[in-house]
Amino acid sequence: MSSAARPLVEARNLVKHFPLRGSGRLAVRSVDGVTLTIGRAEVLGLVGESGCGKSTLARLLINQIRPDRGEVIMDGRDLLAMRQGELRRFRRTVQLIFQNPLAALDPRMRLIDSLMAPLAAHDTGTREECLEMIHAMLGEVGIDPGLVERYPGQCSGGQLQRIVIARALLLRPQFVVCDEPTSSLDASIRAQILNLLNDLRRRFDLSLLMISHDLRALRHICDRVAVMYLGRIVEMAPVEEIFQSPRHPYTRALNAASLLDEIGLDAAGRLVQGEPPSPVHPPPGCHFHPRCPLADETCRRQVPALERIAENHEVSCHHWRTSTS
Amino acid sequence: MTMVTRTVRWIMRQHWTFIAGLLSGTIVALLLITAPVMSLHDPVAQDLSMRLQGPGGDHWLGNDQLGRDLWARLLYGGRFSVVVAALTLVLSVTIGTLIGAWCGRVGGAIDEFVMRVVDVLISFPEIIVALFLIAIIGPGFGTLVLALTLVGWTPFARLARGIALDISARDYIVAAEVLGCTRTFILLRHVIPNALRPISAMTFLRFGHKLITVGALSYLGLGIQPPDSDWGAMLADARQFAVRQPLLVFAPGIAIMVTALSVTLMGQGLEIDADRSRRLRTGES
Amino acid sequence: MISPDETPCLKVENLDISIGDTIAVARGINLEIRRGETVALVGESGSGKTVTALSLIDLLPPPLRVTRGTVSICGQKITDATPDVLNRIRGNRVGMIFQQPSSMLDPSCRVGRQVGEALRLHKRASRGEAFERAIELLREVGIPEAGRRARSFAHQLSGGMAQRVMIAAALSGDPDLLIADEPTTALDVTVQAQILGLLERERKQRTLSILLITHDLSIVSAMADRVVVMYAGSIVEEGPVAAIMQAPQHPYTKALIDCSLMRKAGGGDLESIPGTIPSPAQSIPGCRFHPRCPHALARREGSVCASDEPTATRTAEGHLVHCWAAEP
Ligand SMILES: Nc1ncnc2c1ncn2[C@@H]1O[C@H](COP(=O)(O)OP(=O)(O)OP(=O)(O)O)[C@@H](O)[C@H]1O
Ligand SMILES: Nc1ncnc2c1ncn2[C@@H]1O[C@H](COP(=O)(O)OP(=O)(O)OP(=O)(O)O)[C@@H](O)[C@H]1O
Ligand code: SF4
Ligand code: SF4
Ligand SMILES: [Mg+2]
Ligand SMILES: [Mg+2]
Repeated sequence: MSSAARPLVEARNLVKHFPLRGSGRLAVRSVDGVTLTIGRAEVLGLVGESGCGKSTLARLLINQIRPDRGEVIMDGRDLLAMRQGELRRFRRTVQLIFQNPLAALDPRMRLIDSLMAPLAAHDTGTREECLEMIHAMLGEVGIDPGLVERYPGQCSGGQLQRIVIARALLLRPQFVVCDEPTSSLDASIRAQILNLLNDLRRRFDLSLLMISHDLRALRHICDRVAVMYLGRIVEMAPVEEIFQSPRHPYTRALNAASLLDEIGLDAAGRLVQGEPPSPVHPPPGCHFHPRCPLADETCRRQVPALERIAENHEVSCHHWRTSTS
Repeated sequence: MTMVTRTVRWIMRQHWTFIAGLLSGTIVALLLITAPVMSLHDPVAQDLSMRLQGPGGDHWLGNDQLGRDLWARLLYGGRFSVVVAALTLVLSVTIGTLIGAWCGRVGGAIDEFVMRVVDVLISFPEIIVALFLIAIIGPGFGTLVLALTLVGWTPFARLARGIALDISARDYIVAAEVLGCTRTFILLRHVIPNALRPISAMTFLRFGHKLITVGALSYLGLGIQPPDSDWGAMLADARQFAVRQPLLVFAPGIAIMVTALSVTLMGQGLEIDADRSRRLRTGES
Repeated sequence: MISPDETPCLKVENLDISIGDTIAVARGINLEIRRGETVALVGESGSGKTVTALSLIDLLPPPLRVTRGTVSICGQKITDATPDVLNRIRGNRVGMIFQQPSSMLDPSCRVGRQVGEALRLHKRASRGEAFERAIELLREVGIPEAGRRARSFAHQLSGGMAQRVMIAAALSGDPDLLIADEPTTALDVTVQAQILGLLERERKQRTLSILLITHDLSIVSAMADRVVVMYAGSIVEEGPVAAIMQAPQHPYTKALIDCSLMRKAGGGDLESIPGTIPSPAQSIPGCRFHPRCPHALARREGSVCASDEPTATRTAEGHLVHCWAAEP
């Protein structure tokens, strides 16, 4: 990566806590100080267990919700300082693809109307021009144009996910967040969709944030992977390093758990104990210490900083040197 | 033609209560619309020689205390009751749905405020508000509609807000926001169409209630003023003659009941269907 | 080594399951599980795995019913059994765990009592005894502070804990056969390894037989002794885990393993299967996989694949393939 080019997305110290209703000052600490960058035409994977804050982080990055603290710089401009008009133009350049395509489409609208709506919202041209763009895009995602006369309930999950992808790409975004785009799909359809995304990102020069709880799904498509645990990033590195030389004990556990066939049940089970603690009362020190086989007194007391241990490789663990062995 | 066949098919797919209500409701509506044709007599023409006559001849239901044709009065009076009830409902639904859905979408202080207003208004019986207004601006058609609408929009606002809140959490609304659709567009294209079914069910269910309220106000002499009349006023006028000519009381009473019942049945049918399709949809996903 | 003449723990012969009388959702299912063996039943969504599992203990929901064939558990015939016998078998011989643990637990009942319920019903234990035994079981399945947890309600448990409770409940009747329908699909990956490890431990300790239903092939190679692959309601291949995972013979099995383990094809893309699984209502003559099959013989010699249902070919000891292209 050339250091001269400024990354497309820069997030600094993002914090988002959701207050718990009726419990005074308690809050769900969904995102708790996240700093990351995504380069132009780069695909960053974001992996972590359910509830660790992946979707919240994604929604912060595309300005769907506002952070309590921190900033998001997109293409050199501060997202949080943007005014209405500028925001609307910004909206075109970031898009979101959902986990469940059936839920992401209005059940009462024909697919063609769902595809047309964003184009109309941005005054993209006459109806004929819009239709032409839609047909071209349907070709890109491999959908027969006749299908769009139907309602969402009449199509398969794989078809609907292609439609959702087409709808997002129609606005020619630069940055697309895919929030577990394949986890509601069958293995064969999942492969088709991942192939499609990989293909489209090359052709449209897209920057992607690929969210998943399954590391294996990220291997094929990502350049770098960020591993998240309880609201914080614990390791971030190029994808092959995450697979071949993970440094954080949690990354190693995730890695083993998603590659059960290669690593075996016993080894995978030994790498992590117990279950993720509640994000309302995260453990002090390193959030991972109650489950970590390497945890010691330091871990219980001191929060490890996100440390740069190599070009492009960051880890937040007191004992990352030990954990390599 | 396709429009007609589509409508017919749609109707045939509904619950049987809807179809039953629709049938009887249509008959009532047709009778009221064609009142000038269906009644052989002028509803206000008095003929004291025919006072309190029972059914017979071309006076199908007999005559009232002033010798006016009861059938004609029933049809013309019904027009008034039904129009007031329907008009206030249409106004209430439109206002209520827009305000409610909008509040649900914007949230915050505005929402909080409007909902408190709704809470206050909803606790007033419609009839009290109407009495109050009539005391200020005098009785009449306009007052009646105004009074009933003033309170009538609140339950619709509450329902629409609840639906809007529920829908706002759905992915397709988030998608529309991310795609840059405007607030108005989301409200009109996503939120309201998805709220339409429960709202229309509630509209039908409230109709009977409105009809009876209109009747009650007229019964108290606060609705329509003579020489015009409606079912409530007819009931009130017939009170003292109930023993000598029970039909005078029964006819408007039954008319109110049948009309209210058929519309309520339609509402129930719609509600059952809304429930059924919701269960189907959530069961699938 | 298990002697071949021992009565199998589960034996299914020629089982057909239909919606009403006409639409078949499973046909000609033959399945055998020996004592202490884990058999994985795999296939895409809608291939009939859950339906098959439910039919084993006569729990099919109404429009679905068994139209042909027999099921025996530990030599006892389930099909046509009286309700009494059925209940005894369900309580003492078979335990079942499901994908969504929290939805299978009664929200208004303390988990200890639910785990002890089978003991009260089938082993005639007193309430106190059952509760004590339940706490023991909860401890066995790795629930910390089991005594306290036994008094909590289902919604107070995390997904992984709830699944452990389900396992404890399934084990309470001391069954011979455990049917696990996607037991870890709803759980986090790191918790998944723990739950599977627990199942594996219990299997060894109790010489349990396990029917493990899943669509994740990486779980299969870590857990199973034998694998049965289902496609669109029929078994297409079965055999020892090593043979299936390393040398699958049926084109569908090959494709399923490739895309489940996200292997790459020649061009750098991930392997995928074109098309989608047919619905039970769709009638497809011949091999049900032929519209999606890259090796469909139809294109080569005559039209066997498109017209005749493939018969089983034995390619190796215990390895059966239902494909015209398979060679013995
Ligand atoms: N709008 C909200 N209000 C309150 N709490 C929220 C809200 N959104 C998310 N949370 C909480 O924040 C935490 C993180 O949620 P998030 O959806 O970001 O997790 P996730 O990593 O995407 O999980 P999953 O893999 O299940 O999608 C969770 O504990 C969740 O309950
Ligand atoms: N209650 C039911 N009524 C009618 N059809 C059903 C019912 N349950 C299942 N089916 C049908 O039977 C077929 C097999 O379903 P089954 O649930 O066994 O699939 P599965 O292999 O378990 O899939 P999954 O991986 O999604 O759990 C499907 O096509 C399904 O539509
Ligand atoms: S800091 Fe300590 S507890 Fe945290 S991951 Fe590293 S070794 Fe484990
Ligand atoms: S029988 Fe023919 S169509 Fe079916 S799997 Fe074998 S080769 Fe393919
Ligand atoms: Mg999420
Ligand atoms: Mg299933």
